[in-house]
Amino acid sequence: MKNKSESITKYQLLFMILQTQIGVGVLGLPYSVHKVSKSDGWISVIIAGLVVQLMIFIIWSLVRKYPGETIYGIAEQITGKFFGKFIGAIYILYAIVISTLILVLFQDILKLWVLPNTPKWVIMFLMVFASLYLVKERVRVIARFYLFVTSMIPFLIILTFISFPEVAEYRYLFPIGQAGAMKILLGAHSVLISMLGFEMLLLLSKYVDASDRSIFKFVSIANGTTTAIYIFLTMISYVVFSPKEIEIVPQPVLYMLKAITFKIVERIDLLFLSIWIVIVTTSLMSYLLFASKGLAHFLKKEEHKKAAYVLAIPVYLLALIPQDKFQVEQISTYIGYASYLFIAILPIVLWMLSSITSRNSKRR
Amino acid sequence: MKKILLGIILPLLLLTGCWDQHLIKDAHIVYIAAFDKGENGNVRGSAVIRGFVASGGEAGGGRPQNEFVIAEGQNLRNVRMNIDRAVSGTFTAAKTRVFLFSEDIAKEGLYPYLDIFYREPSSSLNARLAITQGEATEILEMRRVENTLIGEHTEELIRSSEINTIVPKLDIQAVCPLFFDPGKDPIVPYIVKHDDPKEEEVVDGVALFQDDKLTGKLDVEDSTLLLLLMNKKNKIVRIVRKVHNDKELDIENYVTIHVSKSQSKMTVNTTNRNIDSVSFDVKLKTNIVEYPADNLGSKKEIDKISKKLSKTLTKDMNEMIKKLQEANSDPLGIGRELIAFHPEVWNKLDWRKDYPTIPIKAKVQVKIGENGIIN
Amino acid sequence: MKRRRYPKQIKSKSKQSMNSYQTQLNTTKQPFFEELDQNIKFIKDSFFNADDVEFRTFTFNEKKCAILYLSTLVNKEVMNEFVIKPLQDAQSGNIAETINTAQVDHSYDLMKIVRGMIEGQCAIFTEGNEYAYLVNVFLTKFRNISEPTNEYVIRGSHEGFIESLQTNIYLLRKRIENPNLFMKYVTIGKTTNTKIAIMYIKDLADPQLVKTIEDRLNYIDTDAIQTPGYIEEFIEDYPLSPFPQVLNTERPDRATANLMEGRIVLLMEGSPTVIVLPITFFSFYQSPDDYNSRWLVGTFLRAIRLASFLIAIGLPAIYIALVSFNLEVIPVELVFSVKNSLEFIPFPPLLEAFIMQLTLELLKEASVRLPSPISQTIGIVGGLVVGTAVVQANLISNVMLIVVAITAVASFVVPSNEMTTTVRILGFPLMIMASLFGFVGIVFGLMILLMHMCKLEPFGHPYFAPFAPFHLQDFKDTVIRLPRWLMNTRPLDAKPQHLRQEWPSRGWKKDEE
Repeated sequence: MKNKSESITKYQLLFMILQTQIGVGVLGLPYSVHKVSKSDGWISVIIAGLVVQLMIFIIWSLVRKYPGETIYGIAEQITGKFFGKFIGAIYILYAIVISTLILVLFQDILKLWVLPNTPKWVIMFLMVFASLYLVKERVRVIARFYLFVTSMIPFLIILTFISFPEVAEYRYLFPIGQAGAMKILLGAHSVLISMLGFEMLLLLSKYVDASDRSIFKFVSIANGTTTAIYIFLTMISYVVFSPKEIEIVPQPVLYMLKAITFKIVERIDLLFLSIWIVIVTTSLMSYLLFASKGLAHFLKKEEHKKAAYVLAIPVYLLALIPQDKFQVEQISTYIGYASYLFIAILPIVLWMLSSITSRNSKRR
Repeated sequence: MKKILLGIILPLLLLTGCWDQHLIKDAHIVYIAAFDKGENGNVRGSAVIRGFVASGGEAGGGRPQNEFVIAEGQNLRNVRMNIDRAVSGTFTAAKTRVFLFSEDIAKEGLYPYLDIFYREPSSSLNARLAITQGEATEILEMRRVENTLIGEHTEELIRSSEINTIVPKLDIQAVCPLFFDPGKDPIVPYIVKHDDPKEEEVVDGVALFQDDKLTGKLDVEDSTLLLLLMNKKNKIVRIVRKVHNDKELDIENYVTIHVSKSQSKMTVNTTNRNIDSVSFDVKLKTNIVEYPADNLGSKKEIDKISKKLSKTLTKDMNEMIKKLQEANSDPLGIGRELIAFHPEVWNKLDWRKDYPTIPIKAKVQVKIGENGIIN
Repeated sequence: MKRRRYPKQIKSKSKQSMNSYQTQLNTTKQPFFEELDQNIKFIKDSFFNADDVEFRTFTFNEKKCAILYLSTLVNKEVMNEFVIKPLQDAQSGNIAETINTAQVDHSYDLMKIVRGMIEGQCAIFTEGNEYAYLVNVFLTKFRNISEPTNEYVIRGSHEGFIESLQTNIYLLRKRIENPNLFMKYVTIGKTTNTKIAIMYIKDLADPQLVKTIEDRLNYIDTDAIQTPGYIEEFIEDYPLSPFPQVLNTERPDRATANLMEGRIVLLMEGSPTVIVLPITFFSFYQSPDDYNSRWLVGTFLRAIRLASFLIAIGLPAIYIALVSFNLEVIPVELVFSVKNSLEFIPFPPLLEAFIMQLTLELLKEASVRLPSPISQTIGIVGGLVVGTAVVQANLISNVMLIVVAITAVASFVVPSNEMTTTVRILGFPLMIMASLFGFVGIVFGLMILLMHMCKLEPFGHPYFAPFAPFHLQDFKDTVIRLPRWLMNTRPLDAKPQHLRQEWPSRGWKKDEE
């Protein structure tokens, strides 16, 4: 059932999920969580990690029943041709919108930090071109690249760690729980959009050459790693910036690095940003892949090369629609809410339906 | 198809030019900048730009040269625009090493003057900053001290004071969290320009702030003590105190110690959601580096000196704390400690009003270890 | 090139006949004529009465015999001594038994005789016989085995391949004395009839790969194969990729090491370079020297070489990004000296870098093909005179000169010539990206390069192994070089039939305790 030249290993699955999860949000995460849950943001991150773990379990229990299928095939099998196509279509739409959002946010930060005068169509074109160059390849080749670039994440951590300034004030984290349980839970919601990416399992389960158990194990490891990295970055940001100050610093991690000087390199934020570009590109590639595999499924093709070309165009054009930063914020809030449909509600519904139908068929 | 696309896009990319290019040879790199109050509420900014003149030498390149620029404006950006009009090329503050602010500006609040640097991605957040007594521009106008250009000299000056634990290690990013922190205040190097016996600048302790407003100052001896109290000891700490009154030569009455290890512990005593007192317990491990009275062979003698020193330093320390309270400045972060560990106490207090009245006590214990290669 | 036009010069009518003659020579058969003279005439006509077709007649078994040969191809002394003399001494008997050489063939096909004569055999015709004998008396005129000039090593074998296929095979067979070392001849080139030898170790090399290679070689349908480069271009997977997909080497030890990893070696008559395939990116960074020095030293050198790759493609780009985008990255101690050197340069950094890089390539090209005394002059003129003058005239900054020089040196560190050039060429697009987008451009450039390398699977074997796909155990002989006794398994990328290559060779340690 599993095409040998298309299959990926469990390690490659781990890194694909990890790379998709860590994306454009990593820079702004401490800031956006702080808006809601103040200095207890790191608790929100832990909660979000646990919630995501639950969702991973739901998605996993759905996909394990259909080992040779992606979500597009699963939806058709469970709900029939028409509804299945519909669900597939909105998943494609979801992936397109997320890709667009990634592109827009990426462009915004790049414009802010390094290239203020470069027109955005150029930066976006570079990004889409680079993504497309790999997305059109086989899943296995993509996974190979992901695995390689994951080696950069430790660099990111080390970079942040050694540049940990002497000004760190641990007392900023105290008293723990000052924001109140409600605020902390709400904060978890704003973390969630940075955690998105685990839903790639809906697609990748078809290609992984491993047992059900190890799939769950490795996706969980990916999620755990993401959560750990986020906790680390959030805590560091909170001890470096005073609670009032962080409210005016939207990219605290970068800002912190900017203030550090080494003997050889100054402006370490550029180094961080360079690695971050790669990490964002992988996220974009994942969603493009997600969408193009869906389109290819509709066209009844195993190859998704053409679908990727076709889908890149709407993503690029959508991202070009002019919008100011408040509109972008608005849109990402909507997407934050909408994403629950795709990462939780639909998988749960599909899972329940499939349990019912399979019980029925057993009875017969 | 692919080739056609590439054929269209590549030349397009090349033709449209380099949007963000910013050539180093066109940049006027500012080494040091100073800000004063100008007329009619304006800001007066001055800067020293490091440039080059063609030397026609064999190696190519040119001779370094300092250019002094000065302009006034409503705000810093305006000052910069006015300077830009006066110099050729672009004025770049990305490599500025030191920012000087006059006392007058600091009294009204520093943040508005630093905002431009926090906002721009290319600015150098690791530049040092200092407050000057009188006009900051006057220091730049010295142009050079002996053979060193003023920019390098001022930077070196502050850096060596940092090493000698006279001023804290500080850049403009490090003060920013403190501007916004209700429970902790920054301290900033304070520079004085002397005209007599010769024209020179001197680091004369630290300026005390309340949030971003200057409210007082400490002299060199006090600032060292404050840094010890804050656990911010750097490489060298030298303290000179009088330990005798009876020696024939006055110089023999004094001892110089080098602090090799220092530990300061803050304890906040609260009862019933009220703050009772704050106490600091400072332990210093020191070596004697100068003691003309000699006879350090006996333990008794050393004990005597250390006891005497502990007493003197405790007294000095408490006097210094008084000065902090008078300036209503809290560089020790007592407020932060309250927020973090006694939030209920903090919520009841009006910190800025209550801080000067809180009893704060420090106790210093000096331990003398080595005494050099003679007794 | 000239030779390729050869069939065309024979005008329309004969062009047709020439082509048909080509195929005739290789495929058709021509039975013998009854008369000896007719046979001789046919042979002579086949060579268009070329002046070096010679023959002499003699009588043997009281029949008229003739011996035909191409005088330029045969070794006359050997022929006189071992063919003609025995025949004349014996005067009668069996020809094949009388001749004192190792190999005597006979054929009933005149076309085969012609082909044999081209290879340097002499043909013995007998009146009335419908066959002729072919005796190997070819002339071997080759240079001695010497050290390959473009792949020096400090310690290790100083033998190099030469232009003779036979000798080259000998060099490999000597190094692997095992019947498993399989070799097979393939003849490619309709006009040149170039002999290619495929060599691999039968129980190691991936049979799938062997089949792929043989298929692709059989597909080659061309007039002439002049150099191994022709073969390379005919069989490689990605003609558009800048990366070399096969390894060219003149070193038998390097070829042997690759054979032992289960790779295939293609040798060509008349070429001292052999082709090794499939290959990974890291194979270009391995040198026999690594294994002759201590493993720590070897690891260090590997690290330096890999760093040199990054320097060679990235350094000019990073410099451009620094001086034209982010001067704030340069430490303050350095920024003023950089600014000083650039202050009076009229060109933008990109142009500066291009000028210097191209000058360097010019100097290199100029000196490669000149006799060494003159090329030394080029070195002095180029390096010293141009270098100093260009800085003094404020045309190029001295920092840029340093950058370009380091880049050039770094690119020459690679122990393979093709990779050297590839690496330097890859620097150019990166420089353009850097001048357009600064560091962002470099990141995108490198990312696309990396994607490209992950994509490449020449001959179905991943090019960027062991990084992508990731095989930690294969790092032992790529990025680092571990001691030989830790290299228990062969690298996976060539998909050898069995992996184990080393068994506890240091078992004596236990015995001696």
